[in-house]
Amino acid sequence: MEQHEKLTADSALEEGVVLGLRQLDGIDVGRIERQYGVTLAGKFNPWLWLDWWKRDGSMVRLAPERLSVSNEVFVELMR
Amino acid sequence: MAGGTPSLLDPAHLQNILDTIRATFVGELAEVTLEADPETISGVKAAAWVRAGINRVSFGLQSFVDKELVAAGRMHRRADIYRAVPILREAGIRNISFDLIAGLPHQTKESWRQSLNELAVLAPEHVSVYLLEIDEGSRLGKELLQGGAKYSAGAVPSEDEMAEFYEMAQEALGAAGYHHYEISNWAKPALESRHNLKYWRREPYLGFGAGGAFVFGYGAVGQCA
Repeated sequence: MEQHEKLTADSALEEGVVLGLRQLDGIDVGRIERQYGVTLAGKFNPWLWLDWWKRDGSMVRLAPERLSVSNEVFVELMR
Repeated sequence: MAGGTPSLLDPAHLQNILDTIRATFVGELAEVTLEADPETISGVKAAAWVRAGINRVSFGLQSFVDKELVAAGRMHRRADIYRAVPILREAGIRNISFDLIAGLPHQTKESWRQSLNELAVLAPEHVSVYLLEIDEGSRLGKELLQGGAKYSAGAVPSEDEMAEFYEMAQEALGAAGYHHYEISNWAKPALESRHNLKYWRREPYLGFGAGGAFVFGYGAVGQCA
């Protein structure tokens, strides 16, 4: 094996969020918080109120009109 | 089975790999995908793939327009696509995926519309649409960064045009009955890519071979030499 890496909880969370948001169904915030043992509020909450996202209960997904510029959105999210 | 062009492998080698996986791991091989280039397809190979257990073929088509395929350095041409798909269907492959690239040199709204229309005629079960990403280390990327025109760098669509192509794909694929389930992926009902879903859900998976990567548990990732 050439490389082996144990991700920090933060890195694993970021991966989980970005990969999850690639799906049109989006992410279940409650499930992600239970899975990674962290709260998303402090890290991502400001973004969840922008018009980039659609919220439906605990599900959050990328707004349809942002799909064509998703890479830029994810870069901003991770800033 | 991906990376490079595994469809160039002797089918006996593919059979051997799949037999080893079956003998090593418990479980059903529900979705066995082979990445293939259209010009490498033959009836003999396709029949051997089905016998080996391959039930899904993914084509990196990129475009149905020869001028764009030439500029992208692809070996296949539009005619190869129309030759390969019936061969696979005849052999018993019921799940075919096409990859298209939005933003290839020389691509226009009209040529992109042509690729989307021709895709709908061949009706693959799954479609991926990727926006062209410029690799700064590639000859095209270097030329673009220098503002040059070699390697068709002067004919690469703008980012706004690429976004418009993506939106055209959303509309056309939706109208053709595809379910948009991931930013770059569409599928006919219940034919979403099962292995890709594992990546996006960040579920554990193993990868073997040169450059093969794996995720094990929630925190460990690695890559083979």
